[in-house]
Amino acid sequence: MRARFDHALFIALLLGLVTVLSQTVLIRELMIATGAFELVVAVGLSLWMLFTGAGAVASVLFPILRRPFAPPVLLALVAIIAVGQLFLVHPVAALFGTVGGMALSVPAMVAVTAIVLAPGCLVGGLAFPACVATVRGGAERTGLVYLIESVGMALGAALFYLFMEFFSPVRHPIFLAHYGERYRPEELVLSRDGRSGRLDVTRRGDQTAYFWNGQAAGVAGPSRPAEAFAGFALTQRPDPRRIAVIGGLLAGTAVEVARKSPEAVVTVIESEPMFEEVFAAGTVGRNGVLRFGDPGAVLRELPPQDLIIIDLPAPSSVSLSRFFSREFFSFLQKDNGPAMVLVVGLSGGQGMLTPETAALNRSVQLALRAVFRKVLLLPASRHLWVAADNDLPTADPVFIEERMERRGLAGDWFNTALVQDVIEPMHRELTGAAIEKADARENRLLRPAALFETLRHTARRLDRPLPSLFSSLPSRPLSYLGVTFLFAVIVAVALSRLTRRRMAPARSAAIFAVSGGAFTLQLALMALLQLHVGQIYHLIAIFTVSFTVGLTAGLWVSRRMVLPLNLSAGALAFLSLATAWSADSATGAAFPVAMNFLAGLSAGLSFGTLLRGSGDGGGAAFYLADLVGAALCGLLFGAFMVPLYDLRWVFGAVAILALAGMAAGSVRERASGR
Amino acid sequence: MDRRIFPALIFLALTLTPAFFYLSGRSPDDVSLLRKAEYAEPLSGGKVRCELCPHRCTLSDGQTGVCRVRRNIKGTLYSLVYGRPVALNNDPVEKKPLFHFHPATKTLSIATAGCNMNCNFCQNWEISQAAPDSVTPYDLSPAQVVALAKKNGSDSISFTYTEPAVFFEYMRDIAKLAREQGLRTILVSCGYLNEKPLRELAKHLDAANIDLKGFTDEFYRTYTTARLQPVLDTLKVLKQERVHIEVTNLVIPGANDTENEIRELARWVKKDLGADTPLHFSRFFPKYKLTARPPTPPVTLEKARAIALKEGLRFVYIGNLATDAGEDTFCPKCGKRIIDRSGYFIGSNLLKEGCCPFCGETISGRWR
Repeated sequence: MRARFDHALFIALLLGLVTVLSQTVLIRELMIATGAFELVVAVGLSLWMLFTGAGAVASVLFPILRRPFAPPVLLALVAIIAVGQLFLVHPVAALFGTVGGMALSVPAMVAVTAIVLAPGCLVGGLAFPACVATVRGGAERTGLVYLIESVGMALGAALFYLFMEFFSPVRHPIFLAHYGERYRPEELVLSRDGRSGRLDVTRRGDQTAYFWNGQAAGVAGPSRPAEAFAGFALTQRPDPRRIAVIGGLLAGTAVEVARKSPEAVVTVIESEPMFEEVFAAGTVGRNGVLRFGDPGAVLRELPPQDLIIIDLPAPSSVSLSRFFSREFFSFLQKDNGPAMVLVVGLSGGQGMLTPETAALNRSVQLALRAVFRKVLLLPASRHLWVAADNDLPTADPVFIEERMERRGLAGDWFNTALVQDVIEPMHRELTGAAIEKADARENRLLRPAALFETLRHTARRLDRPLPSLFSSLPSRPLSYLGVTFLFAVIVAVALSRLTRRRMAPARSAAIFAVSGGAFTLQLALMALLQLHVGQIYHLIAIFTVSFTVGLTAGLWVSRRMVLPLNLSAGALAFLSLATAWSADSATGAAFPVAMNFLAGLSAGLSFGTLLRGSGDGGGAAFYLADLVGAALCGLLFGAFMVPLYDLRWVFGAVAILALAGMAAGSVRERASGR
Repeated sequence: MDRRIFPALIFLALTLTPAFFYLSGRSPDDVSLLRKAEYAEPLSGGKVRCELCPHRCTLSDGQTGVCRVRRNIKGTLYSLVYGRPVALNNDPVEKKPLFHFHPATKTLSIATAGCNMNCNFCQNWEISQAAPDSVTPYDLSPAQVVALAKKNGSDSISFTYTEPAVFFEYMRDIAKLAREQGLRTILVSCGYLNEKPLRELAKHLDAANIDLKGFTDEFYRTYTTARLQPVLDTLKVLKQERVHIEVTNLVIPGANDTENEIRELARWVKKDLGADTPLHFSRFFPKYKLTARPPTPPVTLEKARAIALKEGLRFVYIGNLATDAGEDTFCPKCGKRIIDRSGYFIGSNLLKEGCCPFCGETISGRWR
């Protein structure tokens, strides 16, 4: 009997480990296969939890799962299916696109994610109640299995970094051969996973092309877009001695800037350290210096710069949006003095502004205007925003042409004809007016309006424009919260009714709310981590470990002492409000990670209390309430709210969820007479 | 309370929420602001068939065509974009690209929303794949457009960026007025237009650049949702109508870049349009939904140009790429460089009254 007990717990441990590893790998692969739209991360995590919850519920249909052999068999199946899922990702995505490698519409992206994730998640969902049924532990067995599975998840998350380094799928020849097919007729010559994404390099004929997260990012050697961007940027600051380029390595801008400024020291700052393996020191010429790290941290170490050029992808994530925020611009201003000129590249399109791109440009324009005395627009195919506290920047074509000639910047593409085309009076006037009229909020660190507009633009590109109701949501936080909370309450009540025979409805509702609050807090803290630290793919392991270690500790403590739910769920609410209060302080990685541990701890303590005496049949009901609560609340109050509102609203929503959990828990306690 | 109420509530919430969000984005049609569309055939039951392009959409009341801009409202077909352009620029004519038509002049370029193709590589997808109510238009009558062109010193007006065929009535009225006032007119199109409206339009056109996107029907069906033959027919009609024609082929890696396809395309252009027809091979840049392909390798474009020249075409160009000779015009007889171009910049134009200054050969085109 003792052996069976250990055996099932060991299976639960391995289940947690395998689940976390496969989750991280599959969601990144889905992101690459579906067009690098980061919404797939939220969709993937939510579907993961929903399918796992569905699997847990479905387990009641299979009495055979109560047999001792069931957990190891299910674990083996989860592991085997995970490998199959990895190989399925790209072929399934190809089914939904008319041609290979095509970016998918939002419904197609959801469908691909669901098809790929469903098999493994459903089997994983069956495994949890199977483990609960086969361990000893009486009424506390659900809590025990949850604890052990959490330990497994913590181990899996810790192993993730090693996994990424040594067992990354793109380093495996079999996977690489299969993966390379998406680039045919190009030949995939290199593929590397890094902290913030995947770099693929292809070659065909005389051309080497770079792909970032599966999307074309640039080619080696001269290119017209890079020449135009660098040319216009360099005319904005006469005779710069020190130039910093943030990004622009893959797009070729950095190389072009260094090539055209032989007299200046050009520091190219890339936040992805993996690029160091791929790009040699001389890539940006003899006067260029490649630095890897967070741009803010690197710039702090450098002497004041004369010209700073930001050439980053569109602000499609919280970590990218910060480089277009008022706070970052303010830092650049203070760090570099009044002689500095800042040039920011942003999606534009000559005369092709959609309401979303106009609003995106407006949000950045407002942020620049809040900081700098002079802000100009050069509306090229990629818009250049020029800002300074001096009078050096100019949009006068005569001055630009004069500077171009004097410094020998003219080339095959960047020449007087292009200058006159970009700064053609009617074009400039109409574009400027469209941006001024756009309804957008200033892009701030904690309120990433640029991210919201970029997401709207991506939705238009992949599918269709979001209805006008969406664009009005940013100004209606209370309406949004009211409707979404009502929806969450309906789902929580429905779930508790569905599982009332296995678990008291109030207990289920409390688990739903606490789980939703804890997961939303985790997402909000992840956003905070991105805002202050940058790309965090490499930190996800540490971050997830911090939560699961806290969760595990909470569950362990609650098995030894009974803590009132008011204390643990109240702690969750307090933590959230405390984080909101200090959200705009640059605290480094330690603060969000520590808060995440405490969030896990309070969730673990709450679950421990709520699971006490949940009985034999409570496993599936608990898992369902936990996962659906986390998935739904994570989407509604985390993934959707972060780009819509100030991050502090999200922390407020977490506090409300925790308080709702306390209220539901107190109903349970009153009902049970405790 | 019956516990079945809860699944029902969830079902309602899940179905009504998207419906509410979808409906909130729609606005009713105000017919008084719209212009009746031409080339519409009324059918029984309030249906209408649009005869403007080869799609020949049959539309029930409230339905909009493939182009997104022609809608059946109570049995009558309306253009939703007449007088409502969404893009206006004063471009160099080389940007169209037209290399043999009044070089170094400005052309007022205008477009409304909508397109009758759905190319997954569209370079102007922001407006071409947009419904009129999802982008912000200007309000400009044909007379105002012509006045704007004159005010900005434009030599011509170009209907471009999206597919001008979808704003046929607006384009025709502008073109007619522009010609009356001494401006030239240019059509930059995918060539997906039926013969009757095309012949009507051609009377008011000076030049056209037609995008021959590929040379197999399979490519057209897979990448554009259209067909090849109607585009070839358009080119032949424009030739018959004596409109100056240049042809552009966007070379997409792995899609339409085989040597055989390029050769067949060049042969057809020579046979059906003439060896003097300028052909532009344009470099693809990843856009819209085709973002997992690299830009066209330079060697592919060089090879395409060499093939077309070998097939007997006299003026073959490479666009969107810096090359030694790809954008320059050479005399087909003596081989000397006559027009030197760098992007939109004309370094030198040695042409003398449409002839080579070195050997006197007539260079096909419409020159100033």
